[in-house]
Amino acid sequence: MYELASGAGEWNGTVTNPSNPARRDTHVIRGNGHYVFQYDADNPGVWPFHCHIAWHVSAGLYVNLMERPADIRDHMQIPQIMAQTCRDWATFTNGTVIEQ
Amino acid sequence: MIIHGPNHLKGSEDYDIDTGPVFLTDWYHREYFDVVTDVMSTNLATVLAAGSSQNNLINGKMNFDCSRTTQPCREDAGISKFRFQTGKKHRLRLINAGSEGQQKFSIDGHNLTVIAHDFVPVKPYTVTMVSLGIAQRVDVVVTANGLANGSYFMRSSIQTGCTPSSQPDAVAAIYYPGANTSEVPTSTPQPDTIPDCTESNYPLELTTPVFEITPATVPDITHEIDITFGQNATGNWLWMMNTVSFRANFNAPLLLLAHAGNFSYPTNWNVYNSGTAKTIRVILNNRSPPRHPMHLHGPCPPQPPSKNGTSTNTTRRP
Repeated sequence: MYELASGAGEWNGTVTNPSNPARRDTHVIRGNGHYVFQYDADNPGVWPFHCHIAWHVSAGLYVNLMERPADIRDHMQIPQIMAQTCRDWATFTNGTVIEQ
Repeated sequence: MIIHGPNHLKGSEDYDIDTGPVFLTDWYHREYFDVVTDVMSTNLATVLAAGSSQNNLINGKMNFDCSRTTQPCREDAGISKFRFQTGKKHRLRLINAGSEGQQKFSIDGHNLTVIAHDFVPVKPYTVTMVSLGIAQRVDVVVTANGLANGSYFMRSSIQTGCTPSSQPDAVAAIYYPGANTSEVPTSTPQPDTIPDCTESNYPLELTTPVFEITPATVPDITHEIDITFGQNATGNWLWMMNTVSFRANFNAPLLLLAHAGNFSYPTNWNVYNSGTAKTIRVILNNRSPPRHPMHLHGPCPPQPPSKNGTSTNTTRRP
């Protein structure tokens, strides 16, 4: 992701180094601060964006960013092994209560 | 496993020896599920105490004072050991693979030349201490300019200003060829240049990716998301994004539903559908006191086109 801006309080609309901004996949947003990022939709899918502190993500600090849904519907091939895993999981959970 | 990206280093900035991954991890003596149960309890004091770690490790090792636990414990469990070759440049691939603790890493008597953030090559810069939030990786090149018979401590400390720990300081030993590898280093720590934990990242204004990419000035879509902390109907403390605490239904995978043309989901699945947007911006506001290492899957850090000049348009699975 392009790291456009970060800092305390609200974003003032200014992009840092707009011609070649910093990029990375994990950015630590400060307490009571802002973080603005951008990415190009070059990878159709449903992508997690979450806090990587283990128990923060366990406690719900997580969103799904869905990218190019029409391509997921029309062009994506779900691997056979994944489909089989879904069927096996459904069978398993039909008779076993999962603690979560 | 080491994944080699394009080598952007030239001449004096290159390295001689790949020392490999250096894992920095906070360590908990309790089971994960027990910690999580406390983290989501109805008692705020219990919630805040749950994240306190008992130790800090470099490549899985660190000693522990056994008088501080009733669990099975071995005195002098030992620390990780590294070898430096005099005069050579060593590449260390630092990884914060812990649960909560933000780390600050340094090597006594040595500078760190940072060459990559999360696999993205950056214009090299030299510091004595680097900061890593959970999941962040920082690649550094260290010139072995110490004494030929010297031994030095490598150190990583949990930033206790934002994460409690009863033993936040990890060390490992670095030995030069003439050093006695059974002796413990007596080297002096670097000055603490990261005294607080307001922000773990190297300043954006000072970061220059080696491969220049200019993003769209105006994105096709912008999502604004607020992070908040609060209690649900049963009084349990949870984290929320735009007032919703995420829940997964493992029996209804989102990707499978989308593939079947179903794009309507329960609110607590927290789906942000960007439709046909080619560029996507997110304005994230943290309306809570602690910092959060926010990690995005999917869009790989863009790399320059491959040799034949084409970039792929297929789905990847990072």
